[in-house]
Amino acid sequence: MRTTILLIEDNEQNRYLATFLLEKRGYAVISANDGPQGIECAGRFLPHLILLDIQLPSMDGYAVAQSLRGNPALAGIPIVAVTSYAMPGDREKALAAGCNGYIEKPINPETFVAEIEHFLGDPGKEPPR
Amino acid sequence: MTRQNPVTRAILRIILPYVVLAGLWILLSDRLLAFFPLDVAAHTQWSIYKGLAFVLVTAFLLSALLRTELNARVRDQTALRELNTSLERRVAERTAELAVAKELAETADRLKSAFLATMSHELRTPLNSIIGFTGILIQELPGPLNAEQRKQLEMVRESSRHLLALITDVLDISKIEAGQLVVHCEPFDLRASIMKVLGIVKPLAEKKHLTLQANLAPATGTLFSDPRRVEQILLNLLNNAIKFTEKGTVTLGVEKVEAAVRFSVADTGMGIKPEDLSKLFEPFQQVDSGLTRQHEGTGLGLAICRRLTGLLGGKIEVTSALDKGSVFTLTLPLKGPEVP
Repeated sequence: MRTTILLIEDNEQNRYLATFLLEKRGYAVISANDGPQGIECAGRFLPHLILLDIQLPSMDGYAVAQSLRGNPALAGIPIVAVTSYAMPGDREKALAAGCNGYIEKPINPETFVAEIEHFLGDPGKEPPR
Repeated sequence: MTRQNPVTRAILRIILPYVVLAGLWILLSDRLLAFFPLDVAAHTQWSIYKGLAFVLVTAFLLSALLRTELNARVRDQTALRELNTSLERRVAERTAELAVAKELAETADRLKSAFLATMSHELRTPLNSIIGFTGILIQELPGPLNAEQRKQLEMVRESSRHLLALITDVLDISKIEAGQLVVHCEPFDLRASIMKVLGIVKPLAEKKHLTLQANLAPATGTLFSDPRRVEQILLNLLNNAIKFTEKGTVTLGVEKVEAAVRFSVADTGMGIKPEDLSKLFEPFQQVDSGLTRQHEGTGLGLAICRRLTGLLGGKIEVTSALDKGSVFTLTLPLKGPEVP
């Protein structure tokens, strides 16, 4: 089974960008356009990692992270916030909401995958091809 | 009306009239008595009556004068109290006005912060796509590029990185002005940071055929400060030096001075006019607006440098000679900013 990454992102171009980079590196990518859809996908597919945009319509990324962390079945999945929020306290807020990491947009296409692989370091999981 | 000393006022208004009127009474009553042909016994008798009358008249006189004076005093005090009350009322009114103004200013400030956060987000989202897809294409992940395509895509990437730098600068200065930027100090290897910064500016210097020199004192070791911000300041100073130098050398010097480390960035560029030195560190002041077209930038770099240096407990100074070059000196405490 390939390593699966769930991408919760509302901007179509940014979704395509991250998906392209991850698929090129051999990951399976599931994407969701908003929070509720993302939570539903997380429960259904149990991905190895969740990439979460913070500014989402109706339900923001902090609420999504809290909701994911509230479900014991999903509690072990690392969540990385990928966001263009860059005001003071944003990083702390993301971490407090249950995210394991924080990557600021714009992402660097040369280092992005390596940055998120840092959070996939669980030896119990299959390494990416 | 000039204000008199109370004793002087009492003398003028009570004692003096009393003395004059009492003196007149004594003189006139003796003259009056002299008109009547009286014998010695009757004269003595009348003198006693006259004395008693004198006491009565002067007592009446004194009480009248005292009453006038006391009334005046009471009137003065009432006026003073009214003046005080009205002053207090005016102070209270002004204070209330100021509180309203302060409230408005704070609301405006909060709006500004919210606006900046939104703008930052809105600008970075499309920029994320531009930088991301350009990077993917240059990495040839979707397929091979010819030389011209690569060259043009690199130009797109260069411009979008520049745009990102501008957004970051504007956001940085706003955060600093709003007191929201916090430095995170930790011990770090200064030499590694310097090498990193030199690595970034080296291609820029090479492109302009400038010599980039680094004179690092051997004792350059660990610094307790915010590495990201120190690198940001050095990068800015070196970038500026390269930007404003057409030929010659840009030199970075680093040395320990007592409990501080002193960095100097010297160039052989155009220099700065003495009258422009003072506004150099003000936001949005690129010294010669005529040069704006030639040297792009927000004019925020040095303003950010100075404020960051302040947050790190250091200072930044500049000396310059027109057409010879400038030297920017950054001094940072080895043990970080003093915690208040």
